[in-house]
Amino acid sequence: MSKKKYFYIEQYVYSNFVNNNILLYNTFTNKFIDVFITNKELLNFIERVLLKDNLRTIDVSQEELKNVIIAKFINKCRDLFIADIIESDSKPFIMSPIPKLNQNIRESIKGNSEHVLNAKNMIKELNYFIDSKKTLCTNIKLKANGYKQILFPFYNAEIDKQLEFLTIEKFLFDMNIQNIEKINIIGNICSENYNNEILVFFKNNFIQFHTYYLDFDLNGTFATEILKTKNKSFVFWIDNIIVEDQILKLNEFVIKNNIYSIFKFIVTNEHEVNQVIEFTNTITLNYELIPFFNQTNIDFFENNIFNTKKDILNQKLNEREIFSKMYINILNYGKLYFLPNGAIYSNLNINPIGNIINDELSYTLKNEVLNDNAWFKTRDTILPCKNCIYQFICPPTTNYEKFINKNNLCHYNPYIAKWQGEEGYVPVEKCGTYTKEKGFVVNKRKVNTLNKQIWGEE
Amino acid sequence: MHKTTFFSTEYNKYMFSFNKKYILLSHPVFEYLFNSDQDKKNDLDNQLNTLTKERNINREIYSNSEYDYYKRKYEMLKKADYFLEKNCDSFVDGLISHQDINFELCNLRALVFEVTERCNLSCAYCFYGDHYKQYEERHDKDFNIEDAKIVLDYMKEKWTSEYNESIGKEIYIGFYGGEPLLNFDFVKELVNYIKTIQQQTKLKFRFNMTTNAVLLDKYMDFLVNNNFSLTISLDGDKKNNCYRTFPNKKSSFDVVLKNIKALIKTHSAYFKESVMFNAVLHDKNDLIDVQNFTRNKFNKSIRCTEVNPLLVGNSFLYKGRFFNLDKSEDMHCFLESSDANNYNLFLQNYSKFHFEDFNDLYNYDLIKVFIPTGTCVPFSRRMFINAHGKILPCETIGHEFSIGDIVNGEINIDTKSIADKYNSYFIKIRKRCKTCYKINFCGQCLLLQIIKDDGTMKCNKIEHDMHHKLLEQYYSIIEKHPELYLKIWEEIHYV
Ligand code: SF4
Ligand code: SF4
Ligand code: SF4
Repeated sequence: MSKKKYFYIEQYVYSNFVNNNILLYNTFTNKFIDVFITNKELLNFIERVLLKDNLRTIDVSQEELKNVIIAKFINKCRDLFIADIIESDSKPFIMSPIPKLNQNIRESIKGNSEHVLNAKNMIKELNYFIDSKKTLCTNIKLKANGYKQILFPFYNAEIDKQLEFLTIEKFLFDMNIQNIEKINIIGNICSENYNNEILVFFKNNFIQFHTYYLDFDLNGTFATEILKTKNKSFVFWIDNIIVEDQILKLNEFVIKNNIYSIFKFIVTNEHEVNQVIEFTNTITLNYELIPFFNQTNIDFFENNIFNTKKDILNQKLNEREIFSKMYINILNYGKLYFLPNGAIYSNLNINPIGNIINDELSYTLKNEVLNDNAWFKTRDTILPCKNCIYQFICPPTTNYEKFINKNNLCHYNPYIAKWQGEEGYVPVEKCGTYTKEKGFVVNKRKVNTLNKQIWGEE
Repeated sequence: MHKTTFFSTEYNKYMFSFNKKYILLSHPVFEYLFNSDQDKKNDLDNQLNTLTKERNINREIYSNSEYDYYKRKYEMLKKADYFLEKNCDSFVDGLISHQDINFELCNLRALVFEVTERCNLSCAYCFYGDHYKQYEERHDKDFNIEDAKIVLDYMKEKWTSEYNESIGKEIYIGFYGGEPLLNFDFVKELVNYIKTIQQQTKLKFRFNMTTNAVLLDKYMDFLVNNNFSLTISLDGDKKNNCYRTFPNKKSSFDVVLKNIKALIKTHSAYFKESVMFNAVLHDKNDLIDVQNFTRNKFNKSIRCTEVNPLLVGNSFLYKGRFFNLDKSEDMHCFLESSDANNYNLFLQNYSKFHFEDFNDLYNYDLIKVFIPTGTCVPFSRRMFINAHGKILPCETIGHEFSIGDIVNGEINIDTKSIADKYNSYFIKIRKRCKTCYKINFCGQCLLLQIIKDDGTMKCNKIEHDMHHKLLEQYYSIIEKHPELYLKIWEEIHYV
């Protein structure tokens, strides 16, 4: 046997190749190569490397080695320790990183619907809204859709009556309660609409009460009663910090009673961000900033929330995390939401997947598990992310997309492989249209013309 | 502490990091630098010496630029903790609690009765036959039907308790022998009893039976009507099947074949759907012949197990099979064999890309703690009850490891003492496992393979200096047949 030269991509490198655009990401160093390939020979070379059966290892011909563009590419890869060349009598075996899911319930349900019962173990978090007609919150926009966007603790069940806990209990009974990591009780817990039966049922679970900060009555029965229970925590939602006094009192209350709590400050612009920072500088407070899209603050989102290339590639992801993103949306996975009328959602922005009164748990779960609704809403199920090389590196989709009416909250246009600020960049919206019904629809002709202009023919 | 292991196939050099779980191609410079790092660690005074060695030795073989490149690459890997020794101590610190056992009991998926010890064949390798070693004297005992009903009543409580997570899934009731059809009355009565339980509850049952098919012609209608999943034991064609004889040493092959043909003739759809074969591999047959036989004759694959040397000693030992994977026939058989399962286990444990289920994807970074060895948690696979009423974790385990019994109509399963017993084994063996390089890839059963008659424990522990051999064995084959990777990775799933 004569020695051959083999080009191989290292096992610790994540690769993605979409529409002539390649990403090679060294998970050991977080260094990467992302290029749009126009050269035919290099394209052939890369396609050959990434052909599944080749397992990212190919023999390189003399001709290929002499090709300046291929040689340059190989050198770049070697420089970043992304790939290497080895001389050998026989092709080495590199186990290319193909994730394997041993038990894929989404597949097995199709063969045997009984398997849906296994999905019970996927439930991680229950979110239980209580009717909160009475609230001191006056922010109309927050009250209108804050619960859907950021889980703001206000849901006005105008006509629906709050369900008896008995009905809910019947439904919950089929779950593996002990596997559930967290129960969120969301709304005005200090109003008469809330009753503590739910606490008894979940006595061994971790419970988090979400409430609007001004609604929390420090001298009321709830505040006294709750101290007697264990495994609880509070989230206080604050839409303005005018009533500083209440925040300080609440903080004092939780510190004194040693209750884990988070203060969530809702912000809609830079000014509010600065205000919160200024305020929190003076006290010890466990807090988070929660951006809220109010239809008029798109600039705030573009400047602060939208991902830049740096945001995406500086995350220091490990390989298993990337594989996880191929299958599930980790922000939505395992979460169920119950409204006071009994409707069950996997995400409040889409249709309910069942109803506590009429449906069985297994029916509800099947609705979720067989669709790409929420738990499984990965980037490759939506446009334009489906066409993007960063799709499994990028953070998962959130609720904001729905309100902003844009799936990619980033400064990247995958159709032309350009980031904002790079020469030739145009926003993704120029490559197609967004509609409420169909989401993003790409205009192929336009994309072709743009690519010719930017990258040239060859 | 588990160190990086360097190993070579005939053509290439590789290395495996326990810490990072990657098998990468190695360059001699890596191995050299790794060793000098080890030297430095072990012998600080010698540092200077090593550094000189480093320059002298390697500059001769490799060009400056090659040496420098791989040195830089080595540093990069080192920085990424690739060469870091992994502390696996806590890896096998898992123990089982009585709650775990109770949980498995409440979710028991297979309950198997040894219907009778009697058999109408007298297979030469059978551990009840001449070469009987580990087991008590044969009694030709039948299972008492009233006891069986008591077991079912007990299990009904468990299956319908709040701990059951699998209501609606089929529970397998197995009829095992001896030859179960010799005690057909038992089978019939228990089936009827289970049907009444099915009516009273939401539980769903499926029956299965392993038979030598000698009496199949007589009882097949009953088996078909009750939709038994049927496993027929057959070791291949007449020559291969030579150890399966009647007590008068006459071959059973013709009778069995005739009965199978009768079944196919009268119940062809059932045969296609619900009949499986299994074979014992021994010194007179061969995996590929056996598989070809059932495939060609019945259009079925067959499950093969090797004759168990622990039970029959060294007689009849299957010589093993060398697969010529260039031949598609061999490849096909390989993929159906237990070797392919071992490969799957190997790939799973020597990489980072395996996820058990969606929850594993959700907790992608969770560090898991396991119980040592490959022993199963009692009742997680099945409950086997022999004709004497001894309860065992499966049918291959000796009765001295019983985990309960049914005596005089009283069932006795003490989850607390079972947990204590198992945990005492685990605590005893895990000291050994913590320094073993097979720690995450052991697969040996304490009860079947490790604990010896005198109570001592012996296993195939692998030390660091032998670890490369294991890796070489797997990589030599997969390097020649890389297509195995995708086939095994994509096609083999275990339950
Ligand atoms: S297009 Fe989608 S996947 Fe790509 S960077 Fe933007 S948001 Fe992420
Ligand atoms: S051989 Fe051991 S590990 Fe396997 S089923 Fe039996 S008891 Fe469990
Ligand atoms: S081979 Fe022995 S020492 Fe190694 S893991 Fe298995 S039981 Fe433990």
